Formats: sequence, C-alpha cells, structure tokens
Amino acid sequence: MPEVMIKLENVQKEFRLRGNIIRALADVNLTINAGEFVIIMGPTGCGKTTLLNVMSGLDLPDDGTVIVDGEKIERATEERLSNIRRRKIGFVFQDFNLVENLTAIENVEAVLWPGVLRSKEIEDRAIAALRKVDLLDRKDNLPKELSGGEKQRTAIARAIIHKPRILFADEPTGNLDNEAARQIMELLKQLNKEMGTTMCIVTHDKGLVKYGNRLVEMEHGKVVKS
Amino acid sequence: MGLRLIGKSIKLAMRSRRRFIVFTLMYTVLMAWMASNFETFFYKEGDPTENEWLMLGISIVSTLILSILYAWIVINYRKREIATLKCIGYTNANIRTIIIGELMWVTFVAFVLVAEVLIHITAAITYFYSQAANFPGLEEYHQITRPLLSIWPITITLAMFIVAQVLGITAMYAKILKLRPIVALRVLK
Repeated sequence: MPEVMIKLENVQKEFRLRGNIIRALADVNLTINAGEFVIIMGPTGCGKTTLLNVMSGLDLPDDGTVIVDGEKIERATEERLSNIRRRKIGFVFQDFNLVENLTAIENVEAVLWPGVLRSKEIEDRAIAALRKVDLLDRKDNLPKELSGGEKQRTAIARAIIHKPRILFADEPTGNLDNEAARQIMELLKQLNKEMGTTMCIVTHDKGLVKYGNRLVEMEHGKVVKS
Repeated sequence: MGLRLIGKSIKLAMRSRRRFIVFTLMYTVLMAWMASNFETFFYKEGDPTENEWLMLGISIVSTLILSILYAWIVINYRKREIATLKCIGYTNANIRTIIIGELMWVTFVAFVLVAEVLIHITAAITYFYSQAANFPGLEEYHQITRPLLSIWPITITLAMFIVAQVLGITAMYAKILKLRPIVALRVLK
C-alpha cells in the first residue's frame, strides 16, 4: 500500500470579500501519496491556490482535517507550522521570491541558517543543490544578475536544500518564457524521480499536465477530477 | 544559531547600502548631540537651565522616534522577504533576531564613528590650545584642559541608544507577528 503524504478530509474554507462570502474550498477530500507528481489545475478563482495554501500550512481551513506526512496541521500553532515547513516542505513561487541582497548560494543557504548545522555543511549542501539545478557557475551572482529561468532554478535549489518530503509550487512557470518553463518542469520531474519528493504544482497552463503523473482538476472550490 | 543569524543580518544591513548609510549618519549626528547634552548636565556648574532640559528631552525623544522609524522601515520594506523566510521555516524569533542584528549594527557603527570623530576633534582642539600661548590675545585658552566629551556622557548615550533600539523593535514586533507567510505568494504587478 502506498504511503500517504497528504490527506484532506471535508476541508472547507471561506473568504469574506466586500460583504460577500466566497467559498474557496467546499468539502474537499483528497489524498496524495508519497512520490506522486500532482498537477492541480482549474480556472482562475476555482480555489487551487487556496488548496495549496491549506495543504502546506500557509493557511488554515475553517473546517475539516489536513494531515501532512502523518501530522495533523489544521489547528497547529504558527510555531509548529514553521517547524513542519522547515523539516518537510519546500516552496517554489511564481515571482521567485529571492532575497535581493543575497547571492544565489546565500539564498539557498538561508533555509538552513536558523538550524544547528555547521556553516561548512550548509555550504556543501547549497553547492550540491545548485549543482542539481545546474547553476553552480552562477552561485556568486545576485538575483538581479540572473535571468528568470536562473532565478527559478535558484528558488528550486532553495526548496530542495533541506531534502523536503513535499515540494509545493504555485504557478512556477508563470513568469517564464516557453523554453525556460519547459526546462523548469523537466527539472522538477527529474527531482521527483531522483529524490522521490512529492510534487504539488498549481497551474492553469494545460501544457504542463504532461509532466505530472496525476491531474487534480478544480471548479468552484471542489475537486471535480483527481 | 542566533549568532549566525546576527552575522547574516549585519551582512544584509551592509548590502542595503543607501538605507544603511542614511541611518548610520543620522544616528551619528543624534548620538553626538545627545552626548554633548549629557556632557553639559554632568560637568557644568550650577543647575541646568530650562533650555538645557528641553534640548536633552528633544534629543532623547528624537532617538526613540528614529529607532522606531528605522525598525518600521526595515520591516515594511522587507514584508515580502520576511513572509518568504516564514514560508521556508523561519520562526518569529528568527526574524526578530535578524531585525535586532541590523538595528544594533547601525547603532554600533554610529558609536564608533562618533568616537572616531571625537578623537580627531579633541586632538585638533588640544593642538590649538597647546599653541594658543604663542598667539597674543589667546593666552587664556592655553589653560583649558577640559575634554570635548567625557567618558560617562558617551557611555550613557550608547546605553540610551541600545534601550531605544530595544523599544523600537518591541514596538514593531507585533507587525512581525501579524505578517502572514501567505503574503509571499501574492504576485507582484
């Protein structure tokens, strides 16, 4: 039986917008197994980013149960959520979100600065992560000196340096041209195979479906196909 | 762990050059001003005048306002960065360490600058006094031996600045706590 990595049971989430209540997630039930490469798709406003936020502990559901790698997180404190994110989760953002005043390698290392590892070990791990994303030759460059694709590869190196169990990406190719987008998705696919990291990618780009081994489609806050 | 984060916060402070230079210079001027006000209080004969009390009060309040303003600017300019750090597992305490490190570094550099400038000014004045005897009409200055600023006013000023930094970061800490990691996911227009 496959190991369950993420389990959502009857998850609900509502937002208030100018006096109206918007149901972002309506009784969502979803199970994602370890090692899966899941693409979450749907039209704008269907709740896919909210789903990603709830699964990753960035947002808490109003109701329902969220279990990530065996840990219930739906009522967890921020301190505990930080701890879970540091140990188990990697993030890749549409806007890369690199720290502008840090070089590529420092951006990658930053994940481990609050931990107990020695500086040399942190550097070795960052170099290994940058080598994995084929960006070692640009390690001393600031983000402003990198192209969009290179920035995203740095962000991916940052997301994998602590060897997370799950990697969440919100529109990771949204700010890239077609070629860079293809390279990033190939890279994520390769990492999924080599490291066994469970991937959850939110996108509205139908061209990315082929990279996943499972498609979750959403509409009006509900999972309509999984 | 804490020391490493403080070291990195100093690096971050130095790399945001414009902000660092502007605030260091402002702190330097304010520190020199406050120290000279304390000097008047400690070493002048008789009770301080109303005006001297006022000046001391203004310099203390200005320091507090500047410290809070600096903490506010650091947090506001770095909202997205702080949210991203929270996404990758930084706790509120980690973020607070980074901000404190940056504020304390600026205070320290300003203090060193004040000390450095004072040493040079004192040296120049001492030289002037030593030569005064040779100039007709300036002989009386040759007798003056009082330093420009004494050690106690400078020490108290540094302590006041450190307290102001702590108050500044305490006032802004609620902002760090309130900042949700989800902010990092907002797409920049």
